[in-house]
Amino acid sequence: MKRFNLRSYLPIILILIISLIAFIFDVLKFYSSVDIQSWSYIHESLAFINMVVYYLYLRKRPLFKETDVKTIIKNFGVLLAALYILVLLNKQFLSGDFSGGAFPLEPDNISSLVYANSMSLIAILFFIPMLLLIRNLITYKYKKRTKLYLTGAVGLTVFLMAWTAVFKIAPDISFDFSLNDTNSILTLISNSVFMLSLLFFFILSTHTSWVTHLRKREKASFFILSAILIWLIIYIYGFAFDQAVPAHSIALGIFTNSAWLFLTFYSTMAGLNLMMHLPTARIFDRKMNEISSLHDLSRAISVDTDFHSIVHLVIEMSADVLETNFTWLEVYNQEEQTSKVTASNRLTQREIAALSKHSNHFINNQIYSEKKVVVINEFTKDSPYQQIKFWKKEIESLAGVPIIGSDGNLFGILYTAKTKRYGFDPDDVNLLEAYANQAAIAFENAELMAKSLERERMEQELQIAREVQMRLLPQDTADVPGLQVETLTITAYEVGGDYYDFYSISDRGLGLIIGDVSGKGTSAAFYMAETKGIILSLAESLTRPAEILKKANKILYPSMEKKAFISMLAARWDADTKILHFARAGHCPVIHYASASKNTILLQPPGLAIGLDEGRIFDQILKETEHQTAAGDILAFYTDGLSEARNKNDEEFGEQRLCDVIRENAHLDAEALKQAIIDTILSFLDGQALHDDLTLVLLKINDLK
Amino acid sequence: MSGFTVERSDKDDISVLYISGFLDLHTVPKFEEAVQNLVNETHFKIIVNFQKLDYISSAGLGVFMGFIEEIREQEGDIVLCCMSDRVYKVFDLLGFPALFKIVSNEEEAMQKFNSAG
Repeated sequence: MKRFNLRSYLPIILILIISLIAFIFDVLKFYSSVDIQSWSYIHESLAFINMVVYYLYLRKRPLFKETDVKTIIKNFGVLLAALYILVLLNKQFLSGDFSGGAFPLEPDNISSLVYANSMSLIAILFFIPMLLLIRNLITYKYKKRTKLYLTGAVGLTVFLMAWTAVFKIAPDISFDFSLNDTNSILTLISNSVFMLSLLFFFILSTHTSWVTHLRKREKASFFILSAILIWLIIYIYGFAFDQAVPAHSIALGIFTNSAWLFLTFYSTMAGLNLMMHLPTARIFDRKMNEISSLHDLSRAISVDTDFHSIVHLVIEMSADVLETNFTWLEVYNQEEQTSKVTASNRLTQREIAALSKHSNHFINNQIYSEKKVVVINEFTKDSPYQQIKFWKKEIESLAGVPIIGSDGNLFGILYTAKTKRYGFDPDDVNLLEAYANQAAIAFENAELMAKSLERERMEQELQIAREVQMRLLPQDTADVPGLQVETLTITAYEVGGDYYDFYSISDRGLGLIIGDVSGKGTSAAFYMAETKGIILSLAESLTRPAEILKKANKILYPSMEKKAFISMLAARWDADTKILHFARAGHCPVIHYASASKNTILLQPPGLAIGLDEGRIFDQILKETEHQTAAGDILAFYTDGLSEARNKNDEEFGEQRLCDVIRENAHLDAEALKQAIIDTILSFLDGQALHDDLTLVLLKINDLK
Repeated sequence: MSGFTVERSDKDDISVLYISGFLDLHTVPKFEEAVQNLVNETHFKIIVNFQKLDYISSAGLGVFMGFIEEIREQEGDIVLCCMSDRVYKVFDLLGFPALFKIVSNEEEAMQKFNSAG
């Protein structure tokens, strides 16, 4: 652990050792007055090595890669402040007198010699990290030649450092020379390089794009800070380094000078840029907020399907970005033609209630009818919008944007209000419309979701209803001597509530129940189940069809919805007498084909459907009839799904067609007859779907016993 | 499928609902709403004119059953008139003539109320 620490401090120790060597060299030179040319080169080299070592050391520090503008500026400020403190301390204890007239100046005494050394060290220690920080600001946004300018600036400065160290000619921009003089040519080169480096510094100074992306408040505070920084930077060179550093090392002196010039350039340009950005800072902030809020919103909509959380997000963002005082969203109810506040910002429960109650206020109506934005920037005395002020007197300007779906239907209105006049400019309205569009997407998603859920639920219910119905219907046909029995059930997409059953099946005949529950789906299936249970238990003790129906009505009536009823027909065919006894409780008639006359007749004795009356009228009206049948006769029982089956032209199949097909195919056995009927129905429907269940029970009395 | 419309016309204390088109499971809510509105307004003397009705399903018949009890308790009634044979057949099959007054024209329907007092 300790070793590791030592290694990381190694460069610092190295710098101190090098500085110490340079210092000893200076002291020796001061006292011995021996001037050896090559020694001064070693001295300059030492200063240069110091800088390189320090740079390499800094490369591994977080500062080197810092990209956050605020942190960079904070660090810069801290470095500058520390620099001043150290310089002041140095000045306090050491004298900074230099003389000699020519360049470079010589320290006057041992104190100023120490002063020159320490100032040089300070210059290295502070300017390099400060330059690195500025470099990070420059590279905030790389432009085409940023790297070239950076390399150029550094390269030229290094060249100038070496050149000056070798020839000891201070660069300036005076260009006071004559071509014949070698010295003048050297000066020309050094001045040209200096000028060129200044040009690069200037170009780099314009790389201040980080300013653009600052928040409004940051721009303001950084501008003030930059004014102080500029002053401090300009002042530091003359205050601390001007004479002291070149007196120690010429190369370092050039570096300090160039670095200082660059820092001055850059801070001035950055300060100017900040100042220029101040007037547009608010608008820039707004635009940034707009973009990020819309981005957030659209992302939220694609991820979150919860309608309410999105609506709240819309409210929050419009309140935030537009800096409105009150925001609320009214959802429009198409059927009731009312609107209800679903989300709001800074409104009390009472105010929301008042809004919902008076939802048909003037502005709502206007927006609903025109489907356009309403902006009220001022409530004059005679304004038709005055009533909004009665609701909330603080409101001085208001904007309402309709939330319109892709198919043009209106979901609601997004309202924002401010307590100052002229709160909404066209830009604000555009943005509000963008929010409203996002809200519309959320509404549409929610609607689609609800629809698909509803569809799924209905599908499931239908599946249940179908299963119940199929289980309730008899699995086998009745087997009675002397009688052919055939049944047919075709269920519609929505279960229609058709029902039939056989009871008391024996050699002596059979009982038959056929019925149709009003309504569809699960409720129909439920009534079917109830009916089956009741009928089967009644058939145990009662044999007469009318009695079964009367009793069933008495039991079923109280448990049935007012609107619901069941048409039913109960029949009993006696094998010995071939007599059909039956009663019809509002059900379709029975078709009887008599083989003797080769004619069909419809048997329709009076009767009321089950569930319409508690029993008084039902019992009074229901008549049980007897009907003699003979060998070769056919009896057809059916539900209205068959007689009312409709084709493409909206024609009903009707009883007549059924009678015809029975008559024409009466010679066939029951099974073949059923097939003939199916074929006839299918060709009639011609691909059209059934809208109700279809049930048919055929009885054919055998010719031969 | 085809649509359904209901129009209302009040004559003194009697309200006449003119229904047309197809009255089935899908259009029933529209008709129910119309009758419900009358009940809400305490208009209990109701004539339903079937002249322009093309088709009625069992669900359509259910509407009358849903309201008749309440209306009769309020000493009102629903009188049905001007049915086509095809529509009447549906009512007749289920035995509705035993429960409702079904007449051939509107005047007759009016008289049913007036004679009842």
